[in-house]
Amino acid sequence: MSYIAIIITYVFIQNFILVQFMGLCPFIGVSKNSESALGMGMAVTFVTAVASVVCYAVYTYLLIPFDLAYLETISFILVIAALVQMVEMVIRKMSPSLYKALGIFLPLITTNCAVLGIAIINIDEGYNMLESFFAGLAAGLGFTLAIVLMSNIREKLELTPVRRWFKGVPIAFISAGLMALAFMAFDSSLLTNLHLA
Amino acid sequence: MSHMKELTKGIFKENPTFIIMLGMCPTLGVTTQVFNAFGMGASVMFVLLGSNIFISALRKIIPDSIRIPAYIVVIASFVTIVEMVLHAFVPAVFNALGVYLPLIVVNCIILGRAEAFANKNTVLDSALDAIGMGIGFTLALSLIAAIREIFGAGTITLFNLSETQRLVITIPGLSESPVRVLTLAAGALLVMGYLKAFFTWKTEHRKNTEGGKA
Amino acid sequence: MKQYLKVAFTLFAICAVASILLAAINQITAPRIAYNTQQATIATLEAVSGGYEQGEQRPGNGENVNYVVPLYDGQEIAGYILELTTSGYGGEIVMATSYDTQGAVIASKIMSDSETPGLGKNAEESWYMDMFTGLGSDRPLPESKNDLADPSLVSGASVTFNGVSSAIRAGSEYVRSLGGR
Repeated sequence: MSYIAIIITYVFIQNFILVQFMGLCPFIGVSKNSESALGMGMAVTFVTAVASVVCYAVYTYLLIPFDLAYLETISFILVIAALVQMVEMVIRKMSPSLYKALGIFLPLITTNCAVLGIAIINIDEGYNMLESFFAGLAAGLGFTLAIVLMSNIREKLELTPVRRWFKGVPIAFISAGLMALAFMAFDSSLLTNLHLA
Repeated sequence: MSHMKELTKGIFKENPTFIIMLGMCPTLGVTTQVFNAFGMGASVMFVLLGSNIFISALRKIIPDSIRIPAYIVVIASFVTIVEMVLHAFVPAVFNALGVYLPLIVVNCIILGRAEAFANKNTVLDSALDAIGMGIGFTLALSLIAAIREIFGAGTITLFNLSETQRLVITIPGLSESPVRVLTLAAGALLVMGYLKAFFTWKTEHRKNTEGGKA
Repeated sequence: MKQYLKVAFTLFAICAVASILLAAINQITAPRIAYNTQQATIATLEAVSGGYEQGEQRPGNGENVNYVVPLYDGQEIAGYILELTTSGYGGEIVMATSYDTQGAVIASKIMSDSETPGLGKNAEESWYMDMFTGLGSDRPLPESKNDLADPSLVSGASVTFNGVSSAIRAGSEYVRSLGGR
């Protein structure tokens, strides 16, 4: 599978939020304004890309040689937790301004399904290291795309009269549903038509 | 009677899905068939029960500074146990739940209950809390799955282990021309939105009547 | 320093206990999982064999045909079972399809897939695969769902249908290229 095909797949066809429902908690929780949505998206993209590579390496060079594949889940989540912690410390030291923008989102990312999800999907799909990296990057970009679009919708919704019971989370879900309908236009025939599959 | 309260609060008043809004990914990802909802609900309940009991029992031993990694190890171990046991003994359920099974690790309900409840309460209360939350989660999943499957496919799959071992109720009229979109991703989000609105209304309604009585 | 050591030791102890526990459970479940997978493959191959005797497994073409099992009627080769890989809506579909020596489909069954329940997942049902039975030599296999007697059976899941039917067509061609050997 070419790298472009992988990117199109995970940004559009298998969009993590709108198709696979991974990372819905922050999607609903942090999409109230577009600035923090972009921050969250960038932080997630960074972590999914790095975590994909690290988890691939752990699985291929540590778990498989020692016949420990059944420790996949437990080792991946520990790697991700440690990685998020490390990223937080590095960013704080290296770039205080970036830390100010992303810092508050980083602790939330450990329990974001998208990160563990893409790490496991990479192994299931049998991607190599570079493919895993692109899949991770694309999954994060797809997440960013969905959360930024959503935050724009919600900013508009703030100014629109909405029935009382639907205010806030319910209307956010319904808007997300309508976005998902739009994303159904992307399916794997897109790859065929672009001569990528 | 306070023990009873720990058990029942998860079912409606603090329902993890509709009221606290935790653990959304599997809630929407696996609810295409009622049977999958049962499988996911049971798996989550088992993990929740195990992790709540262990974390509550170890709450005096685990130092505060490493409690989150320690919880994650405990939770991930129970998830791996569920994965291996399902894979070995009920492969049909294992295949149907797919990637959402390992993702129970990051289901916020479990870490949330560990952090908010199990590390402050006794083993018995934590176990009851886990069972209540597990039932609440399973009921919520079954409700979403039932709506999606009845209207989206015109069937109710109560049991489905293989082509010969299954129990599917077919609803005449709906199964010929179902609202297919409900079984797809978009339908899940729409159903969730309307149900959440319903529960907001219900909670408010309840508060008003209770307020009226007092 | 002593504080750190204690913390590290506690975390290490928890991890060690967890790994030992998991290793023990893995000892019990791993053979069972391997056995299940093997049994499932045997059952699928038996189900599509059409009552013929199965011969020795041969390698496929390294692309969409994973392996070939010749079917014998006495000493004569009566057909072949092919394990085929194709892509559906939700990812890879692996299926076993049997053909007579002319390339007509005898039977077909999905081994694994991740299609949408109620739509693409219907390919797991026997009525779905029956749409292909007998086609491939005198009568052609369907190229698209419009070639079917009732296209509405697969509506909403054309991607799955295209994946399955193209794999079956490719398999039929492969069987003809074997020329009965």
